[in-house]
Amino acid sequence: MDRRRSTAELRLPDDMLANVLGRLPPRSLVASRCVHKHWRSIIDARHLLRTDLLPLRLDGFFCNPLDLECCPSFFARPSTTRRITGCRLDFSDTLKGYPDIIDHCNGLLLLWESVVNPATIALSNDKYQMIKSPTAGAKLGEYPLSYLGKSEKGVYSALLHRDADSLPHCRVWLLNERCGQMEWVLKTEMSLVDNIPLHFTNKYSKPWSVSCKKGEACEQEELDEWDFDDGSVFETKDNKGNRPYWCGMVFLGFHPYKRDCLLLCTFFQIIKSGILSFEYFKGSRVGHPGCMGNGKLISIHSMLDGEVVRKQLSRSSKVGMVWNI
Amino acid sequence: MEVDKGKGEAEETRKVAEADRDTVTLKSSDGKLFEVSKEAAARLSTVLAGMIAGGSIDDNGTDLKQIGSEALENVVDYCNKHANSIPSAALISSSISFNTAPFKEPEEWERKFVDRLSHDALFDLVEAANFLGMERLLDVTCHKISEMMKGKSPDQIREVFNIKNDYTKEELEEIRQELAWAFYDD
Repeated sequence: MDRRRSTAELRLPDDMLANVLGRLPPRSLVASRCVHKHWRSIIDARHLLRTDLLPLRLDGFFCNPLDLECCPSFFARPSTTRRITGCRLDFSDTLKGYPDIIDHCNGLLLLWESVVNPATIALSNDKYQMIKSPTAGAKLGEYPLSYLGKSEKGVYSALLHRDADSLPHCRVWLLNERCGQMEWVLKTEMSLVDNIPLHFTNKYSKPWSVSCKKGEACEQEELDEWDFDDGSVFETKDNKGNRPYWCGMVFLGFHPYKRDCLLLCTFFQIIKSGILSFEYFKGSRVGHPGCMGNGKLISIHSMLDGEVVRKQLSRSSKVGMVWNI
Repeated sequence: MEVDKGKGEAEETRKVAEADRDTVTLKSSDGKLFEVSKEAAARLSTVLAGMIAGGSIDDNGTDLKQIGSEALENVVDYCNKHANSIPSAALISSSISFNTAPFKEPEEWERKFVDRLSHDALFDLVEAANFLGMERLLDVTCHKISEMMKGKSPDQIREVFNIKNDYTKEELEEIRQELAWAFYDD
């Protein structure tokens, strides 16, 4: 074979260079992007680095006040505040009072009636494009909950509310951004009563594994207290006709890239004995990691690398734990 | 006449013997001949397996014009070593369903095999493995190259592979900003 390798770059055919680069962990891939322009084009063109799954840089954040009369505060460095002119959220005449930020996703904010992007408010003659929230103007019964999230096809919005029979109901929309139309398309509509088996059988559940944060030792005592391997079936003497407590439902997020996995919800059922159970479902599949000591946990949930990860922080021990399903 | 006839018969018997041979002869781009176990070649290379099954193996050396003698020597060496090692069950299954099976870590002898290669020889071997459809060898060689990049800074990677930086300072700063988190330590 002729010595055609120059010293300028790694002379592997693109497919094979992609094969090599595709084996690297994210941090090394980011370093490889900086090695050579051709490497970066291969990494980017073949989506080797799943940037949608990687942390973004935090430029600033909003803080919702407890007092509804106050405006959400925006915290950022001065350079960011100069760039993001919409951070005072006073860009709309139509909004009465101060907007309440319900959810956020990739810099978009979900207000009750609309979705806004504070970073682009200065575009097009100060005229700001607001997208109506899919729930705007609808009669939704008591305590509807609205969410915003991103998945493979784009931005999704989800709604948890009670239907006419006061049973929990869920709807999911996709924001169709093609041709500049910006409209919400209803993707899923389902009754949560039908889709969640309320008698917690283990038929669909997968064991959750517990992993501790690097460098922190798990306290064995804490581990013993919870049953991680098996979603326990709880003895419930009084669970009010098997209806889930409405107030305990929270939305976890959308699967970051799986198309048929639009929705992930967490669902708490508070049982009289004081045990808190955690449920997760996608479609009609249900998994639950077992019971957790009451009052001991505050939880932060997130999705990493497409897996549902639930981080638990125990107040008493300050031990961080992560469950994967 | 007698002599000619005898020669023809000898030719015939030689051909029959060739068909029953348990090795195949491969010819590199620069004309060197290598013998490799037919069984190993068919098992490890989808391309050679196809040629053996299709009868397009040349007894005088099957031309592999894309592969230089150094790379072909390594390929043959790998096949023979593979035939001699007792492959684990997982390895056999990965060579059958190579597209779906997860990558299995190189075995000790495979690691030693690629470790002794120069960079150029390693890259040539990647190309040869790709050309011959040798999924496992491609896996092992690409894995080796990726190991050489892992955990290194852009400068260190360029140094290892002798790559010239074609970014300007400003461009580099810009792409570093895009994914700034990766440059902070845990």
